[in-house]
Amino acid sequence: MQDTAQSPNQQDVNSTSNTKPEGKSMIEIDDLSFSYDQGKTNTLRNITLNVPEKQVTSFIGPSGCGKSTLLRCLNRMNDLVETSRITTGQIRIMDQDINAKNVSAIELRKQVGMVFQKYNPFPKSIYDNVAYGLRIQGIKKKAILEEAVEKSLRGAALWDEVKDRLKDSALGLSGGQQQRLCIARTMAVKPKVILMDEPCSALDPIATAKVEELITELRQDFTIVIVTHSMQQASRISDRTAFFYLGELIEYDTTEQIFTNPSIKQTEDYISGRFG
Amino acid sequence: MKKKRQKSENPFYSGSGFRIFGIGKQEAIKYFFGGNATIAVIVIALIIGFLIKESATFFPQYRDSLDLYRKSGQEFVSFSDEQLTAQKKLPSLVTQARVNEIEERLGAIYRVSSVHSDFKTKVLKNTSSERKAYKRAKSRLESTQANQSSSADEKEEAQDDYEAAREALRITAQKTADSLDYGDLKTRSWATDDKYLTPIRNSIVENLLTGEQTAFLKEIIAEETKLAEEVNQLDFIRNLSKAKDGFSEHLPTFEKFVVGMAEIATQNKAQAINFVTAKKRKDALKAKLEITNNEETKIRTELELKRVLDIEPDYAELNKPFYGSLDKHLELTNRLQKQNREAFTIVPSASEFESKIARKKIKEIKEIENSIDELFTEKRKQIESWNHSKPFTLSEAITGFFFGTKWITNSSWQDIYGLVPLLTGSLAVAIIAVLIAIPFSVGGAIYVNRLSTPTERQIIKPFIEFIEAIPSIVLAFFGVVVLGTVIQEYSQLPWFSWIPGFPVEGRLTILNAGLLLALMSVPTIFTLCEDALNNVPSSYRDASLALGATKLQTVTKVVLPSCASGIIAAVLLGFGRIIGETMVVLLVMGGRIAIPKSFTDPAHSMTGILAQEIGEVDQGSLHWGALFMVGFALFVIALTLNYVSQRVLKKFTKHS
Repeated sequence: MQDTAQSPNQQDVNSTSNTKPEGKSMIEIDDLSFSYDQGKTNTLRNITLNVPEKQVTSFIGPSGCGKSTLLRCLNRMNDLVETSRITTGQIRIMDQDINAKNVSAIELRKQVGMVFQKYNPFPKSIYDNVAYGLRIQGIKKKAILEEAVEKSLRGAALWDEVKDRLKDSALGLSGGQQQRLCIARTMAVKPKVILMDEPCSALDPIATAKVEELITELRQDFTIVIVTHSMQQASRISDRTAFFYLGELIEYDTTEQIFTNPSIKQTEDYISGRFG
Repeated sequence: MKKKRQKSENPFYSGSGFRIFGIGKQEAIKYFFGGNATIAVIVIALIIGFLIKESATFFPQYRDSLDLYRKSGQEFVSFSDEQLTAQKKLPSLVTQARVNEIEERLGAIYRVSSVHSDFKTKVLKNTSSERKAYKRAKSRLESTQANQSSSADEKEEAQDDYEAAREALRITAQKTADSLDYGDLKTRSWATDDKYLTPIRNSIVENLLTGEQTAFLKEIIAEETKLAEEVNQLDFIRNLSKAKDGFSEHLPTFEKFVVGMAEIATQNKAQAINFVTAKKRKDALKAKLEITNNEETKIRTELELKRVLDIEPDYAELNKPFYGSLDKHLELTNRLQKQNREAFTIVPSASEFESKIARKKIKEIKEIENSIDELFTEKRKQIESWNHSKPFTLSEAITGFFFGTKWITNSSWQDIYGLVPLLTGSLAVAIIAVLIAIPFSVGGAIYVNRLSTPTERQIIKPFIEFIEAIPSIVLAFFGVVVLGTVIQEYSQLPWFSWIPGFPVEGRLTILNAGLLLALMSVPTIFTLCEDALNNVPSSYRDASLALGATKLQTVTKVVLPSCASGIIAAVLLGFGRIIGETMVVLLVMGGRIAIPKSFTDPAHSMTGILAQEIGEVDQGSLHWGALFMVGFALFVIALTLNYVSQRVLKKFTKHS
């Protein structure tokens, strides 16, 4: 268990508790409501939470509670859904409202990378997969690309496994390796934040352990937000945990606090397996 | 339930429902679908077998036909005939160049009379009732004036009527004429100087009222004649005329020689055919004799057998005149070649000509200059080494069909079946159509599938798919009536002259058909491309976008590479669709059976020739067999294209 520096504030038990951790905030979500159908029904309702820099924050909650939706709001992947709207509130990343008119989703996504539930390397070579993000930024120099690829693959603890077959198709790797490759691909662009949407749900326990280990190490360089179904995983790797239920943020606190002494009954019921 | 259980002690008893011949319901359904599939396979196998059978008889038949062609000396004559054809082309090209150049140099003046007559037709059409009234009034006036008994009142009335009708005609005619402009011309290239517009209009009206050639038109024609004479006096035009005389000086002698030889060959051929027919008849009678048991029939058949004359002609004797003509031929062709060389030196260079068409003709002459001596030598060699008794082999017949450059049917001379002109026509039009269709269909599919908004998609997709519903005959009609003229006219514009083959001479060309076929293949390629694009997992797109790529980068760097084979397969299938298309190529491509030199030439196609000729051949004849071979070749091409695209697609599905 990783312990956070500050002590949780438990005074206000009725509202979403402790949404403002100490230390520098990377992501500030302020009273956010979000709708997939042009504002008819809100999938997310009045969510306020701050994600601290260089920590691992996990979003937990039963299926359909909106945790993935919130994650996809953070790098505006929801823009792909034509009818989606942010109905109230705003999201600030590095103190900038990301839905402001003069914000480019392309530039945002270079800073806020994403790893998906199902590993999805391109049908290209391992090398080309990792170099992709840099190449689309117009970087062509071989030396720079090679260095970045090696650094990212080392960072994703994959280098030793694939260094002899960088030119082979990425689809020939095992599931766990493919997911780590996707993480390496995201790291290569040097984002500030990495969003992970259930990165281990398609992996076996051994691969899961490796990815979890990797996430723990990545904390030094990146702010990580991870959506997970596995409460054990959340408790193992995250510094802070947010519990969502039916589109609302029920409780947000240090992981230790959430798992040992939740202040709201619903949270307790969920983590003790009574529903969800 | 209980009852059944009692019937059988088996707890998993399958039940005793509907059964026929011991086959249960599920099995019956299975056999029904299996049977359908089998019938489809059998039908296709039968079609293939039929095609092969019909076409297999063709080659031996064709060989026999070619054998007669050789034995009768027709082949020998055809060598000289090819020399003759090549030589004949020269004076005709020179004449075409000269005519076009003179027209070009006459310029505006030359076009005024064309505009005049085009406008006049339109004015006549618009004033028909006024003209009738005018004519009636005029004849009445004339009759009353001629009639002594008519009163002064009558005369005056007739005079008034006449003047009123004349005025009415004048006003309508003038109105119509004034409304006409160069934009209304049948051929835009007739448009001429604006200063002529008003005189032309007035001249038409005047002509209509008086019925005589107007002073203006007379003046124009006089000027035209004068200018034409001046142009004719130009040095290079005179050289051109001289060259033409040179090219055609010895032509009549040579032509006479060739025609004389051809007559002998035709007679020989008739003898040879008589013999072949008689032999066949005899064989048939003999066969009949063997089967029949009836005494009377036997006797009659035997009598008939004796009556059939099947004396084989003495081919050596028949061909003697040809072997004896070698010296004369050599002398004649030498004379032709010598004269040609002189004439070629005075053909002016293309840069002296102002007319584009004339320049094209001159370039053609220069090309012939480089090749004609070679042709003469080659044909002379063939003539000298020719031997009537050397039989044709089957492989010669086969290569003659697949690599032959001529397709001549219903000829009084000799039918020749060569696939190449049809194949090149089909391939040329298909390649042009695909090249034009690819950007529209593939680009459209990418846009609709990946870049457009849902509203745009809802508009574009049905429109493209609607094209498929247009009957090809309608498109062909459009090509003949509209597109041909449009291409022909706009190809005259100077900024298109860099395109090879422009300006286009005729309306019915490969380009015209290619454009229509491109339109027809767009929906096919578009739909298949969209399928291929849909098969690209959306996770690729998500991953790429999440890395900060734009939509366009995502399409070009991830989506397209991963569905490239699907797109190639789509294009190949589109190609297959085009090569099998008949109506458009039959009506719009011009139907000239020759290997096209440029894509603005007319050509014929494999499908077109089948549609055109299959109705008029005798079943089982040589021509019939040849058409079946063409159909077979078409079938093989379509099959290959389909197979290749299937393979490409398979590779694609394996990859993703």
